[in-house]
Amino acid sequence: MFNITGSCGSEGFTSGYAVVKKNPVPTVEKYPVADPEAEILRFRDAQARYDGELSRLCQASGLHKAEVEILQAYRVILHDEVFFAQALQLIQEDRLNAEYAILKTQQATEALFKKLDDAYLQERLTDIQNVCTAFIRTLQQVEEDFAERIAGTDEAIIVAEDLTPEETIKLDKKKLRGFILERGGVTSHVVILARLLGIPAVIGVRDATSLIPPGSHLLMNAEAGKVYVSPDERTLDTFAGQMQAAQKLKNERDTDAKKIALTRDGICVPVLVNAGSMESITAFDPLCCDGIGLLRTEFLYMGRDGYPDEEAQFQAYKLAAEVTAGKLLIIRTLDIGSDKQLQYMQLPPEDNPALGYRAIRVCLDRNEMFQAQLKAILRASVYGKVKIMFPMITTLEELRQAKAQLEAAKADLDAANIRYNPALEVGIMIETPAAVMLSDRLARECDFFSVGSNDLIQYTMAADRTNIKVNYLYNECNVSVLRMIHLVAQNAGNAKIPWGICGEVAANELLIPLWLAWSVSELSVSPSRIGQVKHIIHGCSVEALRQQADDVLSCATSAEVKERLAGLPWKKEYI
Amino acid sequence: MKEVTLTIKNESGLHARPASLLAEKAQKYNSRLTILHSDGIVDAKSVVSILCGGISNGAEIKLIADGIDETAALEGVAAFILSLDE
Repeated sequence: MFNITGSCGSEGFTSGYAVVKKNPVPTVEKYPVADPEAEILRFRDAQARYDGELSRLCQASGLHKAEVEILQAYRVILHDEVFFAQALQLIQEDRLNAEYAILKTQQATEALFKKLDDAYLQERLTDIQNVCTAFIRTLQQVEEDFAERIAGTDEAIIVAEDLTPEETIKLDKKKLRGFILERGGVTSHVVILARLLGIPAVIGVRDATSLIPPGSHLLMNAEAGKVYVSPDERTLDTFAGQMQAAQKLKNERDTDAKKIALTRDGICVPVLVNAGSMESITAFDPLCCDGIGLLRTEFLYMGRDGYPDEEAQFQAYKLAAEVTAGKLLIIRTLDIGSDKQLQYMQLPPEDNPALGYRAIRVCLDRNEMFQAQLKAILRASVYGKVKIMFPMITTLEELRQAKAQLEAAKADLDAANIRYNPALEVGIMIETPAAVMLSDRLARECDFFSVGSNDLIQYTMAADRTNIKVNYLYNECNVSVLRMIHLVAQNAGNAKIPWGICGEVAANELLIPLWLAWSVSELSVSPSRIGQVKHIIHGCSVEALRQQADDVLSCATSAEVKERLAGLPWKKEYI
Repeated sequence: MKEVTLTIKNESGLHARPASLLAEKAQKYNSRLTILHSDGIVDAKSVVSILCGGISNGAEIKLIADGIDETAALEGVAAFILSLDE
């Protein structure tokens, strides 16, 4: 037995038997044709037959929407007359056979694509190559027996250089246990499909098709990128243990996602979701999510030619309120800057958009625009448990101005006899060091805080997380960052207002016990993390954590912090 | 002949799926549909052309329609491009 390592394309543990697909080297002959017209007919006939095949595949039952879309995209390429014009010309004028003409066209395009330095586009080149190869095979009348080989295996793990979408789609999913590919990037079709279907895939395994004997027993731990070939007893046992533990954890998280997030000592810490598109609003799952803790409103301003009017915004906020049905919905006012391309807004190009004209600064400077949004949010406030939040606040003056704008909006609605919730709660994002240092005074003049940790960490550490030279400084367990958040928590507590977190630290496994110890009121995370977060909350006892968490702040380095946090008592005990 | 200038606003630009959908949409019209961008010219009915064009988010393009149904074609395709959100 031996093991090989690759990268994780799609998570999961599995066991099965290798079905090895070797790519036969396609032999495309070049020969002259006596009758170009006839050859063109032959071309068109094969084109129609291949299209028919793709169309039939599309109709197959049990296909995922993404699979149908890929097949459709292949049909569009197949009917690209501009692309195939080259091939047709080679047939007509040079009197060459169709297979060769198509191959030449494909190669010319490959040369063009190599000039484009874009990984995503390289995957699309693969699509064009696949269509051409399949087109040529249809002309050559070569049958593919790969799908049949799977039929003979009940627990098949496909080992291949790569798979075309069609090959993937034709596979009997019931017998499929995993993929091991020599190639395949994260945007390749096979990987995307594997993820959608929840099938483990290990990619980037060099020479897999030569190393793995057909029919051999395989174990895969896809997350670790590991494949065990013909495992011995010991490996089987260890693996079984790992697989069981992973499955157990997944089941627990899935179950926990649907429960109330109660700590062991009975404190409820709602777990909400961050949303920022119509899709994420309609996908809201009331069984798992305790509300929307951050509704980013920028999507309403993007992809348009002008500002969204009050009515359009109102409809969107109303929908969000109805979808959350009585659970919390926190709407954040526009948080846009010149780093986003919005022509109609005419945001001045800046050297430093992160430190520039953005968010509340733009809103306070553009009265009409801000009023439209405020009124839309106010009007929506009667349809659910709505709260409003201002981003990037740095001074008390800003908060007061924003609140004054809100009052003006209310007055307008009063004059027009339009309903809104007069007790609409107003909160702010704490995402700047200035806000942290002023949080005691800010807490007296607003109803809640939400810590935007992503930006807070960057502004505090003076480091851009997308800059590979310095993003090691973007550390969620950094001492200064934790001290900042602690100050916010303290000041919120003193003023008796709730404080929550909508940044990524809300889902950080190590830090959640700390947030609980600091009396966080709610955590807002991405939907895929709900189970995980609730699972941890269920295992925590806030009282016990409070006693132990204090000295985290006296740590001097993030390594010490992590060590201290790892020692906090939150593991679930199975009594 | 009719033309309009637009900026590409969706995140992935005219790549992958958007390219495929755009070609399909353009093929529905009789008129010739051409996209002019900083690096060259693209036939909007050819998905491979669009992909080779490498037109990304933020690119400014000129869409040109020429033919019997050029007004409808220009409006339809422009609206489609602006409605892309992936």
